[in-house]
Amino acid sequence: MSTPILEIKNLHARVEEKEILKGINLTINEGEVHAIMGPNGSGKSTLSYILAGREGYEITAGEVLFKGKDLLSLAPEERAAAGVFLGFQYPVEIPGVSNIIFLKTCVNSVRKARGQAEYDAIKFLRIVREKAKTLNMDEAMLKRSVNVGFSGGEKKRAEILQMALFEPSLAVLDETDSGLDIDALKVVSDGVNALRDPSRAMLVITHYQRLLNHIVPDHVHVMAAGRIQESGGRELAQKLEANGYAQYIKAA
Amino acid sequence: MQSIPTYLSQRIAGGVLPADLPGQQHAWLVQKREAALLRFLNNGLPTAQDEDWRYTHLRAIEKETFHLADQSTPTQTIEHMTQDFCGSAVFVDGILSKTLSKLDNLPAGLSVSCVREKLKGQQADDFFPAMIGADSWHDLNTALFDDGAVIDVAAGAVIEKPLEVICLSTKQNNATAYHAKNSIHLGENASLKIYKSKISNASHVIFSTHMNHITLQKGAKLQRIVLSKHADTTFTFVHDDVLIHEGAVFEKTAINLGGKIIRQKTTMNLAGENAYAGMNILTHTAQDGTTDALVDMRHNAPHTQSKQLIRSLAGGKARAVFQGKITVAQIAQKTDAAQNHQGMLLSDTAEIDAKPTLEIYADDVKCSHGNTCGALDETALFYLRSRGIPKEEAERLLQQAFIAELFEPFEESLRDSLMQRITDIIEKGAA
Ligand SMILES: Nc1ncnc2c1ncn2[C@@H]1O[C@H](COP(=O)(O)OP(=O)(O)O)[C@@H](O)[C@H]1O
Ligand SMILES: [Mg+2]
Repeated sequence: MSTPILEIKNLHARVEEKEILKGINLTINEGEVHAIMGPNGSGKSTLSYILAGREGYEITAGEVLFKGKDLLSLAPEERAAAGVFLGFQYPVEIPGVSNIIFLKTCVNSVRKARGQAEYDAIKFLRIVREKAKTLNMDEAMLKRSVNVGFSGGEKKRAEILQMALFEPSLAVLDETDSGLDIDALKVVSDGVNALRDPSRAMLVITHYQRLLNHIVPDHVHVMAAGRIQESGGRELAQKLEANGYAQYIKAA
Repeated sequence: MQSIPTYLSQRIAGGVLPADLPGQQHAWLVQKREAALLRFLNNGLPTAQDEDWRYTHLRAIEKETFHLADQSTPTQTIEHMTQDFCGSAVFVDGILSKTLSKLDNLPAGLSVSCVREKLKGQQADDFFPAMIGADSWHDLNTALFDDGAVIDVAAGAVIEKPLEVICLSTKQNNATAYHAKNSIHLGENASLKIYKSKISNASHVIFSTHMNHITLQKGAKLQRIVLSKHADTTFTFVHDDVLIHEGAVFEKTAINLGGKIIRQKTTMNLAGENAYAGMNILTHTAQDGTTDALVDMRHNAPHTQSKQLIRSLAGGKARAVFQGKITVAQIAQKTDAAQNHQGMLLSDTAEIDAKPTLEIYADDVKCSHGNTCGALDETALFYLRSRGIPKEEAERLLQQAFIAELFEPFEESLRDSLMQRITDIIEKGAA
């Protein structure tokens, strides 16, 4: 029997009096890749932020379990250490902090929290260089400030690099395909596919079906108006591509 | 006779200047001191009606009675900003310490002495020129100054290794005061770096004034770093007045890491063509102190350039103030002046006030100024935390990033050691 990594049960959440998530139910088991598709504004990013622990959301009902334990009571850094990784739809620019310092601080913080030995500077640089190369990333990027002046594609590649360094148990990828041309899409997808693993769960959020040609999901869910409206296999993605989201928006 | 305010009642008992002041044998000096005292007593401390003192209130000083420090040995260990300096002048409670200073093997062209030394003997000229923007503090300082550094670099002498100036305070039973008059003179094409640190973790109340007369002759270059960390019982009033002649370069980085009331004023007179002044200020204040940085940049010659970069961080109930004025005289065509202030509030109860002012009388100039103030970027903080960095460390990283630009001109080793020291001081309150 497969073990659930993530269990979202009847999750309701609001922001400033506005209800955004209206009862989400979703279970992702080890080794599975799920996709959530849905029109803009349906609450996909909100769900991903709540999973990662961003402040400002009021959970009004329901619960989220990660490997069987309550996730929502953990601080964002505790979730990261536990193995939750969020690839941001809009990666944040941090002027004045170089990528390499950022990456080293992140990875060592997580390793420390997981009881693993921290990397020294030289070893870490070697690992990063290696991974950056497989993602076709220019090494000069490592010296630049985090995400500052990066193109859309560079930002997303940087996110995947972080994910690869993190080796998470659950990766939530929010619109990883937005802003990517077809070549970048391939590189990023290959990066994600390389991390597919029987012990790892992934939640891929996207507006378009095209990403799912590259990262082929086991399950597809359609989200609209704060609820999962339909679930199915990968063929559901094709149906959506043909028919659009109109029926769900009307139904919601 | 003027009535003497309580805070001066111990040092100026009966309205008479104390006999222990140096240079009493010089009539010109006695006259100067007495006149200054009279002016000070007439004018009193600046009040909130004073344009420059709108943000910083001085009432707390008036409650204390200040004594001269008893001679004592500092218990602080000296921390050097760099290991490789050409000489070290150590002041203890405002007086140059011959035993702690290392001034015997200075490089050729550099002379470092002290005011007391200069005033010994029967002959001594007035080596303190008038100051731009001299205020009440200048008067009080002139009336009561005890000592100070006198630094001179001969024309053409390029001093590679930095000169270190360290101000220490000792443990005292009373509230104490001292007044320092420093003078720095660089001859034509001379070059010097001065790294100064004023570090005090004294638990008693200290009140000090520092008047720094700085002159750069043609083509001279001075790099000045001042790192100040005071206990939250300290009142300090500093005024750097800098005269910058043709083609000379003045670069100052002031790092203010707290105190009860810290006022740091820098007036700069770009007096010759192609003179340059760079002014970087970091203020990081917490608890309930006020740190007030005032910059008065005066472009008085064509083709002069100035660049100001100020970063203010305030936490607790603290207040950080930046008042920055750029004046471009009519003659100063082709001036290039830039000023950028950014404030970061670290608590809801802290306050940051910024007052940038431009006065431009020339028509062909380039002047820019920017001023922003906000809290720590929550989105960036979440991003870092979502990557596993604990909250406090993420905050520290963002604060370091916020101030990093100030130290960009420095070479890596100095930059790293300064950053480390600043972080240590801020976090542990360590000196
Ligand atoms: N911080 C916020 N304040 C107010 N409304 C918000 C906030 N965040 C998201 N919303 C609203 O919640 C809804 C869902 O947004 P989002 O989760 O970004 O959707 P999606 O990612 O599916 O496009 C939108 O209507 C959006 O305007
Ligand atoms: Mg979204």
